[in-house]
Amino acid sequence: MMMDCQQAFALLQDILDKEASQIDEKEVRAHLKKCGHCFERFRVEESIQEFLNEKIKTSFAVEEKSDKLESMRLDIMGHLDEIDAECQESKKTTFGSPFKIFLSAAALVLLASIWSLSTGFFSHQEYYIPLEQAHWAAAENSSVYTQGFDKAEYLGIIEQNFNYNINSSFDGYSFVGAKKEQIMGNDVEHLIFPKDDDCISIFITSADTFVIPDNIKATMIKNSNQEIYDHNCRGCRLIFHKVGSLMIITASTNKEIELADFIPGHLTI
Amino acid sequence: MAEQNAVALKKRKEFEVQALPHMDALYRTALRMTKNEKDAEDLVQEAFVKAYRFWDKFDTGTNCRAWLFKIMTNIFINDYRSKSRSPMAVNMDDIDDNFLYGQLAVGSKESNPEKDLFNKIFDDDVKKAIETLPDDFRLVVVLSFLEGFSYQEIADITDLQLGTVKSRLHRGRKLLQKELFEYAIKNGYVKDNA
Repeated sequence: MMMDCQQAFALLQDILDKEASQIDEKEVRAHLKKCGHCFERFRVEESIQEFLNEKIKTSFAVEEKSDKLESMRLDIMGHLDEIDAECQESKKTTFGSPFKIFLSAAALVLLASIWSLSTGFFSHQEYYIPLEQAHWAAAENSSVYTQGFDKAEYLGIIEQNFNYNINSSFDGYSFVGAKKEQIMGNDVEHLIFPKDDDCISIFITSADTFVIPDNIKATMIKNSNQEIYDHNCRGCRLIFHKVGSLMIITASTNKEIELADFIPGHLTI
Repeated sequence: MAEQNAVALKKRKEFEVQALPHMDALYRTALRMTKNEKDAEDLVQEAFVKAYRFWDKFDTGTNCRAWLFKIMTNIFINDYRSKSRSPMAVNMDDIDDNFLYGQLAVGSKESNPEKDLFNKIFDDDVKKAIETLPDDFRLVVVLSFLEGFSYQEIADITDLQLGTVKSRLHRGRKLLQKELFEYAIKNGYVKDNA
């Protein structure tokens, strides 16, 4: 199915903001090759965006002198020294007077409000960091996954337990090992697919317990017989495929890979 | 006591290594948000003081840069944003999506019609155009265009819905284009197809 002009135009903003998924971007570029009008439109808009990105940096640059930044840094260090000194002081004294009790109560209220602010902020990011960490750990030390590993037996167990048939290789990446892990309170099967220095992790878990929050659903990029979410975080790319009652997550630090095309297997029933 | 000192030293060291290097980025954003050096400096200092006081609430390994921007944005919104939350001076409906593109002599023999226009826009014009954006729009525009934060990161930093971030960016971009086109006209840019 080729994309039409209207569909391409609808993705213009995402493309300008570098938020389009790989799949969308690829389809838009394919459309632009065929459509001169859209090609020119995107070229001009991207050129304007480049101009703005550049100018928003340089047009204020006069005021960002390095000696100014250096003196700010020193000022900040001075403030930090003061805070450090305050902390030392408060440890020496003991709370007692009503005034100090009032102060500490006020500090608690302030702390509580900041706490709610900070926990709210990273909720979704925290959510996926354990997956990233598991992927990084596996890529760094794959022997934990491969030692004494019986591939045929493992694939048999996965097929039996999950009704899911794993492809043992994809585009040069081959399945070499796996183990069961506890990630974010879920039982997760963690499979690794290395290729040269590269590695892809596949996580398989139950879609009933592993729930994708609504705000992440906004990044859904395809909905055919699978739901695919593309989550680009801190150098590690995660793609979530919901297949039947399974949540299958692929992870890679190599952004060159068409991770969304990396379908690790298929349901057997 | 010695142990306490070691803990305090470690905290200080961590903060200097993880948080302080973001000062330049915070300052350049602060400068565009507050529109003046003095306020920008104060804003950045306040942000670092607050961040240091609550450093133990920061989850090491998560995005420190975004965390600092969130703290600074909060202070900006509460204490620095123009007190008069005047309604939008510009009627957005007047600017259609094709505004600048439509103004360019696209389809003429010129192969890059926009280059001509860019030559008529000076740094100071861009600065003024950015400064004229309403605070709410300028904030998301700067976080996106200058700092390269994603929609989701901007939503986290500003406590806005993802859709609101997207629409403010879209409208901010159109407003900027309109402003810049007007400057270009003033500077002697003449449309080929006028």
